[in-house]
Amino acid sequence: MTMVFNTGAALLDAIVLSVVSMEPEGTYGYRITQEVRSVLNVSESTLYPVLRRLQKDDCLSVYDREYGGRNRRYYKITEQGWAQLGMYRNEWSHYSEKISGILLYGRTSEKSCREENEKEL
Amino acid sequence: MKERKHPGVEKRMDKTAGQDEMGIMRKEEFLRELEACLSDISQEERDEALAYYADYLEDAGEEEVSGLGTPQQVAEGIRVGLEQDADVGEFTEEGYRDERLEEEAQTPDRYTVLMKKDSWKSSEKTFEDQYTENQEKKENGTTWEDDRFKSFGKQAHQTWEEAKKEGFGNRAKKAWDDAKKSEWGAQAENIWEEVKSRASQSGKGREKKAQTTAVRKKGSHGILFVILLIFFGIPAASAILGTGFSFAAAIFGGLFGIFGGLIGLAAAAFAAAIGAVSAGIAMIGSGMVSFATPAVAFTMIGGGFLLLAVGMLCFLLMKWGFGTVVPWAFRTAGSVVRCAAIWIRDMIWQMSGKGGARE
Repeated sequence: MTMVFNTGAALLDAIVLSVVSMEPEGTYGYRITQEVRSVLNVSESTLYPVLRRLQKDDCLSVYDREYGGRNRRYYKITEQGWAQLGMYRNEWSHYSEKISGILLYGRTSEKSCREENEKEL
Repeated sequence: MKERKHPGVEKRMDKTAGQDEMGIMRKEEFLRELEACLSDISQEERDEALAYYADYLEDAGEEEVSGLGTPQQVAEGIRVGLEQDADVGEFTEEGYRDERLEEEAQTPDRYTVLMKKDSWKSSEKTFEDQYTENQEKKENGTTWEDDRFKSFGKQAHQTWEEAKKEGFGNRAKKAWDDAKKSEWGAQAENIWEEVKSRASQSGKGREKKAQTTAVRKKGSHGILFVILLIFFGIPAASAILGTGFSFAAAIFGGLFGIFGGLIGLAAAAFAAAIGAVSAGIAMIGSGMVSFATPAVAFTMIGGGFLLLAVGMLCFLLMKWGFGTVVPWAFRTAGSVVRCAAIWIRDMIWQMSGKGGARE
């Protein structure tokens, strides 16, 4: 799958936060990479810097857990991570709605979008 | 996490002895090369990265080693990531600023964690509530930007704040020097660029922008310029402004005098008109009654008509005075004041602009 649209740093942060947030007990690097790569064509080494940054920003916490006779590092979303993810989701819903509006439905503003919704109802 | 040093590497060495030789060698090699490639970053970062990739390769199985790219490429990614961390934010007059988080004041507040898992799915209201709360918090000045100072030079921010208090003088220079000495040079450079651009933009018009950009590009000379501008530019500007204002006041006063004169003249014309007309009528009247001596009567009547004519002329003069001259004077005065204001402004621009050009 080739990518026509760029994925910016913020979107990558948002996706990683969302992937990690889906596991209440936290999840590990390889698995996060697999999940992200299932929707986004990023290289396998793209995510370490992202995870590290989110960890430094207190959006993710890390802990080690015994797995198969070794310690495996797990990433877990923090309270601040939830707040950040909430912001990203909010932003994304506005952003994607606007882009879809103009790209798919030929609408230029939220107002006309709302008017059309009301008409349809 | 602190107690494990190269945990993955060590574990793997113990555990995988005697297993698939090829795979082991490749993982070992990869991690060893990666470590070598990361020799220029801090011990902590290096350990973190190696632990992560050791984990990653263990979970992935050896066929994934090639999927990661070469150790050099991976190391480059890690290094770029660390650099980006330092570059993302910058210090501004308002303190630390991160462009990624600033748009529309969407910055979430760590103390306002309303977002519970999946709540975004159920209602859109939650988002709005959160947004409003964040907005309020932001207005109260307690955003989590404060917290983000922790990850980026706190010391830099302090020095910056102190410098701000003391008017961007020696302290700013000191902050700059300190910053240069310490690790986060790039960040400090941002601060500095910000000071410079603000200082130069405030004094100059748009047409000078190109010039100032050129000035800024000159780097260290620009620093001296900014300091000079801050120290001497502000007093000089106030002096020029003061002079300008006195000029304007003088011009204004003069104009008012002229107005007064014009209005007075018009009023005088009015009075003269009334006087002349009434005198004319009186003369005609007295001429009428003194027909006993016709010569006197005709002279009186003639003089009366003459006075009437003069009175009419005065009326016309007054009408012209009030209707045309005074409004014109007002208009002219208005444009003179405007021109003076523009002239003063241009002069200030030019002065600061020349300062920039000289630099």
